[in-house]
Amino acid sequence: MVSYASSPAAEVVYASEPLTDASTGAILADGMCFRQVEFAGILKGTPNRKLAEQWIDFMLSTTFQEDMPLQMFVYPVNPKAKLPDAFSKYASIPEMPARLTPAEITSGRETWIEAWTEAVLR
Amino acid sequence: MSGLLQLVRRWRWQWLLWLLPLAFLLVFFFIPLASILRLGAQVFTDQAHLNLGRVWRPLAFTFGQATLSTLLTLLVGLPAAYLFARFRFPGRGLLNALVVLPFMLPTVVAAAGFNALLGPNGWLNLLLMKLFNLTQAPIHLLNTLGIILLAHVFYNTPVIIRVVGSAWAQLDTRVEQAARVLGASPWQTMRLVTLPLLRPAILAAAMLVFLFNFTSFGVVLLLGGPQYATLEVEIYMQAVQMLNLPMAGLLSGVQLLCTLGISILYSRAVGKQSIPLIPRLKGEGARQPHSGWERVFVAGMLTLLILLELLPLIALVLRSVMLMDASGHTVWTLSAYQELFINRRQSVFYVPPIQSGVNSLLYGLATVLMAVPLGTLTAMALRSRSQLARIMDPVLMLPLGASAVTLGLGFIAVFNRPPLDVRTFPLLIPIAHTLVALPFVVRTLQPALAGIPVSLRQAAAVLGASPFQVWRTVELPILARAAVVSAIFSFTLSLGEFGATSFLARPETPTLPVAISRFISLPGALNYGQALAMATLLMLVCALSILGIEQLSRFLNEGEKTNG
Repeated sequence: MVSYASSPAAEVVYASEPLTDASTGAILADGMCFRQVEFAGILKGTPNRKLAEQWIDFMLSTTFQEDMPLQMFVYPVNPKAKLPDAFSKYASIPEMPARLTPAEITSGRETWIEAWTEAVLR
Repeated sequence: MSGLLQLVRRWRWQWLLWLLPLAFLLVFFFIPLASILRLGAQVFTDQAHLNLGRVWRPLAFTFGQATLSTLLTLLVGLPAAYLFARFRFPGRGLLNALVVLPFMLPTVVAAAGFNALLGPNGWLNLLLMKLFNLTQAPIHLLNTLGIILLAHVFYNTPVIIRVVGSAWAQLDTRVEQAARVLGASPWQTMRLVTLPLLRPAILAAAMLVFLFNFTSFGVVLLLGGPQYATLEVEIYMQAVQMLNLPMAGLLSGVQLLCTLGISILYSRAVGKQSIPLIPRLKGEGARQPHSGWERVFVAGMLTLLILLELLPLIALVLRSVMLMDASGHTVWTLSAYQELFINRRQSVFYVPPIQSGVNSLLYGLATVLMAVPLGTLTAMALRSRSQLARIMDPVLMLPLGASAVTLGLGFIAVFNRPPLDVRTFPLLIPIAHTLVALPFVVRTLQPALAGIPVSLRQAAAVLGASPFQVWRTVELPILARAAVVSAIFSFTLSLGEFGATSFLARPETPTLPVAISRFISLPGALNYGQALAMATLLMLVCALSILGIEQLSRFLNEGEKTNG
């Protein structure tokens, strides 16, 4: 099954009865994972620059960054944010993820989405 | 001269009645609709490589599944209609009342019910796993065409029972008896006499069912999984997941053409229904089953109907109070309900599920407050039978032809800056619900208004009452009951509305159906339990409303009969 490396942690967190171990595991061998970066930005020419900056600062704060892992099952970017137990116990970060340059992604994106839709969703 | 003056005055009075409903429709229906069509046209100018397969495939699937679903529904519904029209059996009245329930239930409730019965964590799989000591769910019905068809049959069998069953019960049994006396076998009588007489009713019911299946959204989205998409689901996917608004607009245009076409065919079919049916006494043609075959038929149909129509709902309620502990034992608990109030993970942005219930109730009330006054104004304006009213009548029914998903798409395409901004103006959700409810409200109030004798109003006027006084003291009290029926109806409709709301509800203000659809697809038994608990609550509120409507309508009809 194709899933996220943080998926085993999600299994434990969402179980109805406390689990001691995750019921699934992630294969994290070299080149088996792709690093997915989620981002937020400020649009050029916004009339609310100040507010937008405050919002981005809030998203980078430890309050937000510590809350995010258990909501989105992604890792925080702020090094001061403490990782939840479920993450340190049941999820691990692959050492050698597969890489693609932004240029490669830009040129391939449309075709890949199309191919994925055809192969998996139809 | 004074006659002309009066005419002008009357016209102005009429325009005043029309003003509000027309302004409402213009701003919230026709402008969004126009913007969708404009969006759709962009596909041909802007997008370099247009893959027509993206239109053709969902269109073909929509037609295919709607045809299959309709045929299957007829297969179950026609014998069921025969059962209710021709046989007396214990529990007949109760079952007749209960089978209308499914048709009015929100799609998310039906989806949750089938999930609780046949899904990977549903009763059937739990039972089989227990019986045969399996570690994995043996039956994979979720995300198949089978479960979509099953849910559609569940939804629409009541329509066939209602429409065909009542025509069948009205059929003069003496015609059939005459055929038998002249030597026809029961099968020949059915084929050559009964079915031809029922054909208009069957045709009308089938068209209606086809239309419902054609615009199916919640069932396909929640039970069909990612590989099945009707036009409705594809519009949603293109707009919300792929952010391809022009493609969504094009699909909406195609959908609109299809639904309008089917609606026109439907009203033609209904128009032809004027076969000479002599009114019969209620239940006159019904009798006890006597031969062995008849007993087998009655028992078999009853079992089928209970399995199909009631079991998913019972499964939903029971599954919502059941939890499996770590050792695989079944525990009966209300913990899923308690959990609705708790922010278990102390999250910053968490919305407790119970908040979505509160949102739904508020939106429902707002819908009633808009739909009933607007509907009353419209019904009063339509009463005049002027040329204007004749032109406006079909225009008012147009929102029926547009699907809820199309409405949602139109709203996000148009209302994106203050003061009418989907992101900051939550009243847009009940406004969308009002659009969906309005045609039904008008159709409920129209006959009640028409039933008020003109002499009553004239008498009040002669005795010196102003037009407003006549309305307030004579018409309003008579209208009140029909108004209550349409109020409950709009409230129920708003509670369960999913198509438009799935576009419009913001993450921080979900409604119950939106919250259910989110929780049911999250991993973990606790989320599943909460989804089922919310679905159960929604079902109970809707069931109470539906029973209320049924009782009141019966009361209304009897009142009309004694009046007339």
